[in-house]
Amino acid sequence: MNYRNAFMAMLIRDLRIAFRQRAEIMLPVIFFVVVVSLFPLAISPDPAVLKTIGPGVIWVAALLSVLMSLQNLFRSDFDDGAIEQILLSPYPGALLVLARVLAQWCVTGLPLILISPLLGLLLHLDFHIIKVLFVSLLLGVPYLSMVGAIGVALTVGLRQAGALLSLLVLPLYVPVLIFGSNAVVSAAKDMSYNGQLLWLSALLVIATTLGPFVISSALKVSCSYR
Amino acid sequence: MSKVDKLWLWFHRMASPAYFYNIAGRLLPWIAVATIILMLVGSVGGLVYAPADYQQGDGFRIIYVHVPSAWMSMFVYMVMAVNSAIFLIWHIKLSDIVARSSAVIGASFTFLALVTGSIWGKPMWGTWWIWDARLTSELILLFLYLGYIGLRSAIDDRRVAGRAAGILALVGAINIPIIHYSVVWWNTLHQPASVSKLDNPSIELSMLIPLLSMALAFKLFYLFIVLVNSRSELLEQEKRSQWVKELVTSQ
Amino acid sequence: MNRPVSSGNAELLAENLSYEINDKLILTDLSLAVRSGEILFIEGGNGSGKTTLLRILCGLMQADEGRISWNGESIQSALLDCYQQLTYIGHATGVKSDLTTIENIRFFSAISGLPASSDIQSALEWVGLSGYENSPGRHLSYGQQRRIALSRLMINSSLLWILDEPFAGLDKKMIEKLQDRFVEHADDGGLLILTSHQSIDLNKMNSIRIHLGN
Repeated sequence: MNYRNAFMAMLIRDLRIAFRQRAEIMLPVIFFVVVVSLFPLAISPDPAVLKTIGPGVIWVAALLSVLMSLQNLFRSDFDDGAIEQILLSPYPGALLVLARVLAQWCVTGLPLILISPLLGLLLHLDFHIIKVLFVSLLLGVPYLSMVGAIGVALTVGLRQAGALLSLLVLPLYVPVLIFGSNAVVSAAKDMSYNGQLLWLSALLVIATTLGPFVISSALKVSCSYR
Repeated sequence: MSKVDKLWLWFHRMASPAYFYNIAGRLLPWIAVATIILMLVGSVGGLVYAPADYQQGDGFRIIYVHVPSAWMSMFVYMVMAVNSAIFLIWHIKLSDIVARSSAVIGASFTFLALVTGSIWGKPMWGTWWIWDARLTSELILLFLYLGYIGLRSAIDDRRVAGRAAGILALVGAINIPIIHYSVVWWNTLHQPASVSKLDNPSIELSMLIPLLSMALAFKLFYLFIVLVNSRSELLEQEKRSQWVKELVTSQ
Repeated sequence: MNRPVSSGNAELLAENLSYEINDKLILTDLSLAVRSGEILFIEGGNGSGKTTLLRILCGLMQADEGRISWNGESIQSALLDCYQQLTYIGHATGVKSDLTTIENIRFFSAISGLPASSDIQSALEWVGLSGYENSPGRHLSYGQQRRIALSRLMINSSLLWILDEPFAGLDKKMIEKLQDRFVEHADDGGLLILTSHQSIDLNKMNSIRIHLGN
C-alpha cells in the first residue's frame, strides 16, 4: 500500500485524459471570457459603471464557469465503470477523489484564475484592485470546485443532472460570492479587505478537509443505484 | 441496566415501526386539538387584544404569521438534518421518513415567511421586496429546501434517494450558519442597520403571548403533519411486514 | 510462485440477503458461502438479480436485510481487509477511451493496492493484446476492453475474485484460457464468484452452482 503512488496515479490519469481532450478543457475559460464581455454591451461601456459592477460580474461569471466545468467531473468514470474500481480500491475514497478534483481544478480552475487579470483590465479595474481580485479567486475557486463536486457526486447517476446541480450548488456558493466580490469592492474603495480574504481562506480549509469525505460517500450512494 | 442502555432501548423501541405507528395514532387527536386551541388564542390575541404598533399601525399584526413561520423554517431544516444524520449513521428508516416529510412542509413555512415578509414590507418600506438580511437568508433557505426536494424526487429508488438527500441536508446544515452570517454581514455593509425593523428588541406582554402561542401552534401543526405523513409512509414501506398485515386484518 | 495467496482458510459468507427495488423483490432470503479453493457459479436469466447480488457481495450496494461476513467478521468492519484481497470486474470495464492499454492497466494496478505478480507484457500476451499496448481505449472493441480488465487477474492476483459475466464478448479460445486460470486460482486457495447467463460448459471447473430467478 503506497498512498502517494495511488494519489499520483489518479492525478496523472486525469491530467492525461484532460490534455487529450484539449477542446473541452478550454470551454469553461472561453465561457468565462464571453460572459464577462457581454456585460459592457448589456449595461454600459462607461468606465465608471464598469468599475463598480466589475468585481461582481467577474465573480458571478467565474462561479458559473466553475459550475459548468464540473458537470462532467465524474460522468465518464461513472459510465465506463471506473468509479467502481475507485470505490473498491483499498485506498481511501477521499484520497482518490481529492486527486480527481485537484486535476479538474488544474485544468479548468487555474486557467480561469490566470485569465482573470485580463478581464479586470477589460472592465477598467485598477492594477491594485486586480491584484485583490486575483487573490480572492485563487482562494475562492478551489472552494467552488470542492463544494460543486459534492453536488456532482450526488447527481452523477441522474439523467437531467445539469439544472438540478445548479439548484443544489449555487445556494452553497453564496458566502464565497459575498466575501470574494466584496474583497474586491473594498479594495476599490480603499478599505481593508483582509477580513474577507481570511474568511475565504477559512472556507477553503473547511471545504478541502471535509469535502473529499463527503464527495466519496456521495459517490458511493450514487453508485449503488444503476 | 444502566441509564444509557435504557435510553438506547427506548430509542430503538420508538424507532420500531409498529410501535411508532400506534403511539403516533394515539397522539394525533390531542395534537390536533392543542394546535387549534393555540392557533385560536394566537389569532384572537394577536388581531384583537394586542395593541396596534405606534409606528406601523395594524400592519404589524402580520408578524403573528411571519415570525413563527420564519422560526419554523430554520427549525424544520435542523430537524431534517438531524434525522438525515441518524438515518445515515444508524440506518433507521423512520428518520428518513421524518426528514422526507419535513422537507415539503419546511419549504412551505419558508415560502410563507417570504410572502408575509414581503407583504409586511409593502407598508413599511413602500416596496414589495427589499434585500433585507432576514428575507435574503430565507430566500436562500428556500433554495436549499427546493434542492433537497428536487434531488429526492429525481432518484427513483427510495433508499438511495434518502441517503443522497441526507448527505445534501447535512452539507446544507453546515452551510446555513455560514450563509446566514455572510448575508447579515453583507447586509450591514449595504444598508444602515436601522432599516432592519424585523427585529423587535422590546416587546409587550400582550404581544408576546399571542406570538408565543402562535409559535407553539405552528410547531404542533408541523408535528401533526409529520406524524400523519410518517404513518402513511410507514404503512406503504412496511406493507409486507407482519404488523401491517395484522393491522389490516383486524380492521 | 505466482501469487500472494494467504495460507489460511478465507471465507465469504452471506446470510439471508433480501433486496427489493421499488417494491419489486430482487433477492429473497438468499444465503451463500464461498471458501478458499471454491468456485461459486451463479446462474440465472436476465434480470434475475445476478449483478445486484455481486454488487451487494462486494459492498457497492447494501442489502435491505441480511449480513455479509468476510473471514467471520462483518463486512463493514472488515472492509479494508476485504478490499485489499478483492478483484471485482463488472459489466463496465472501467477502461478509459483516452488512455492507452498500458496506461489503463497501470492505473488499475496502482489503485488496486496489490503487488504486481506478473509483468504487464506477459499479461497482455495472455489476454491476447500484445501489439495493442499503445492503442487508445476508444480504438478497441468491447471484447478487447474486457480483456484489458481481465488482465488484472494475471497482474495483481488477489484472493477473492468477483466477476460479473467474465465470458461475455470473448472468443472460445479465451474462454478456455480463462477457465484454466480459474481452476488454477481455486487450486491455489483462492475464492471465486462468477455469473453467466449463457450455459457455458464448465466441466473443467469444479464449481458450486446457485440458480437465481425462476
